[in-house]
Amino acid sequence: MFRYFWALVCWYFRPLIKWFLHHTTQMCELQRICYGQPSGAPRAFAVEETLEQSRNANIRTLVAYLNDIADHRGITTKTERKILEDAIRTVLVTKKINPTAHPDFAKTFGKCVELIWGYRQLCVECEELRKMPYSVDNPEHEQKLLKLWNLLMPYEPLDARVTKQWQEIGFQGDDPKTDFRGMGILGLENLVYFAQEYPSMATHVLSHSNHPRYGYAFAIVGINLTSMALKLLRDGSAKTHIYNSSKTLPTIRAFHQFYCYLFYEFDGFWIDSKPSNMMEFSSIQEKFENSIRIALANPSTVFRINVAVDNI
Amino acid sequence: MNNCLRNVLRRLRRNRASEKTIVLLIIGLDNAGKSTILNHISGDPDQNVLPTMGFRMVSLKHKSYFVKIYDLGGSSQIRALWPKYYNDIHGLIYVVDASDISRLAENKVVFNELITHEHISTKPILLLANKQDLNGAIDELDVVENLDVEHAANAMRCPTRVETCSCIYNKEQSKNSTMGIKDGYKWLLDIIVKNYAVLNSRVKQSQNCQHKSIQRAQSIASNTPSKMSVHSNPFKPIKDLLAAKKCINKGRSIIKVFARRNKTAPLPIEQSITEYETVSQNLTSNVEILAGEKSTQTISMTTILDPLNLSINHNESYASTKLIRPYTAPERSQRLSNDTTIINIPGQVLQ
Repeated sequence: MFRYFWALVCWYFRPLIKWFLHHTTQMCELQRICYGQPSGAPRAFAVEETLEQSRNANIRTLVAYLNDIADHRGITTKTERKILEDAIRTVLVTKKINPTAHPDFAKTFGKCVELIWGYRQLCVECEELRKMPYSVDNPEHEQKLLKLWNLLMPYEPLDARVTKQWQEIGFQGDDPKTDFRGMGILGLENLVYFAQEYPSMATHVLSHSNHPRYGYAFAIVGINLTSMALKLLRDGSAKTHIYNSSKTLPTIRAFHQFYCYLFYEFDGFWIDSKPSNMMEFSSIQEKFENSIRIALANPSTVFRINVAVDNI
Repeated sequence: MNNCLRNVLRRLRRNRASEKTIVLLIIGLDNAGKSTILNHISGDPDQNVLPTMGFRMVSLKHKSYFVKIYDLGGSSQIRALWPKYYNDIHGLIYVVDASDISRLAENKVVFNELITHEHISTKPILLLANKQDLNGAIDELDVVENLDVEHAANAMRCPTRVETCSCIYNKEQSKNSTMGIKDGYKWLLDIIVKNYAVLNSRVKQSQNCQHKSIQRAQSIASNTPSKMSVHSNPFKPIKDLLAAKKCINKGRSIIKVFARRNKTAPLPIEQSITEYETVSQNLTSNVEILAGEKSTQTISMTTILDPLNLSINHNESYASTKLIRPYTAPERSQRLSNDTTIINIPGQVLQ
């Protein structure tokens, strides 16, 4: 009730406050944000909120246009420049900002637009990968799976495509294809990226998963963590990390890195909590997710993978 | 009179104590569809299910009972942890992927290991042959045959029901395909509610036994290093043995009580009659093996025993069961020989 009332008050008084600030500072709200907020997540969050709440018709069509492009995955390295220029020009014209007087504004605002709609596009991209089921008939998928084995078990050749050996890296049965249900190709790509980009960390984690007392199923936990990473991405909690860590347009790589961080951290979290058996997985995962969410609630958070620790 | 009053009082007390919980367990091999089935039971048909790591618990309500359902992961690593849950449960749901013929042998091994566990015997089991939507899925007859359900359920006196189901469906067949889950679940809860007192006391007892054995193990462990224990030690293990023996005996006697109660009380007869009604109503074919019901002519649950078992046991205490066998029933030896006539499925032809 109170919240509703408060929203009503805000809705009526916001234009008034904005008008007052505009006349005292001689700058529009977007400019105040771009100059006042530190770069990264805080600035992008503020810009995102302002654009969403804007009642200007031009800004609204701009937002709708950018949303549409992101949902169709239209922002690529080729089209990006044109899209950003369009967006900046629209804002400059509607807000009557002189670009020669404010050269920094265009640059910083473009950066924010890139991050915000890059994130939106990333969500769509991940969702598409998740929806693609693992198919035995697709040679690409099969190759990725074999690559995963070779990366994790370089000294042990695979006897056959369907073999008990898969259980060594934590798949449930003899054929890993069924384990990718739910997360599709995204789960496999995450695992491959982790094993490829951080081989020492992956083997470290894999050896932990074979621990006689605190062991767990490496691949299955990996797929469950993919689901968790995707959940964080979908509900926007991961924005903090992605906005802070991305220098350019966020791509699937950013998601993979986020996943690698989660996997590595979860491994440590699991070992530290000394579970009595694998049945405690769901409760420990919940705790882990909560701690990650708390960390992400701080807008200056950025997850960096600490490889130095791993090398010791 | 006294008895009557006591009954009334007991009933009142039962009503008052509404905090009764039924604990169910869903298990099966990996990728059988356990989590999806649980989603359907709890009324949240989410098709995106991850491989279950560890376990998941769902709380539901059925009449005045709280129903807790544990969904355990099916991977071979987790299978070793299943037995830890057996003594807490009132009933079991076993899920088979009917479309994966290559794993039937594995299923058979796992299922038989499961059903012969001391904490599972005589508890009701619902067997679901899942994934009927896929091509090449075998029907309940083949599942029963391949998993040797008959023999195992009879030997362990587990009331068992087999249902076919699928969780993925088109809009037209949506009702038929998930009917199996709903019917089976309802049956399982009904049978548990009817035998709740017996099942629950057994669960309680086995839990207590476990507690005691843990305590005992701890006390022994703490006693042995001290000098005191050197004097008292010779007697302790014997006591333990006796206690353990008592435990086992108690378990057995409860089984007997369970069986005997069913023999004489009118309740089970009613129950099995209603069971048939539901079966004939159901167009979805379902097999019923009410633990050793060799043919549907036998009305009561008295033939709960396996013929093989009967010949061994009836000298002891089950002599009376012989009398209740209907006259029309074929000779025992004959019934043993042809296993194929056992199952009578009312709805099969229609489907």
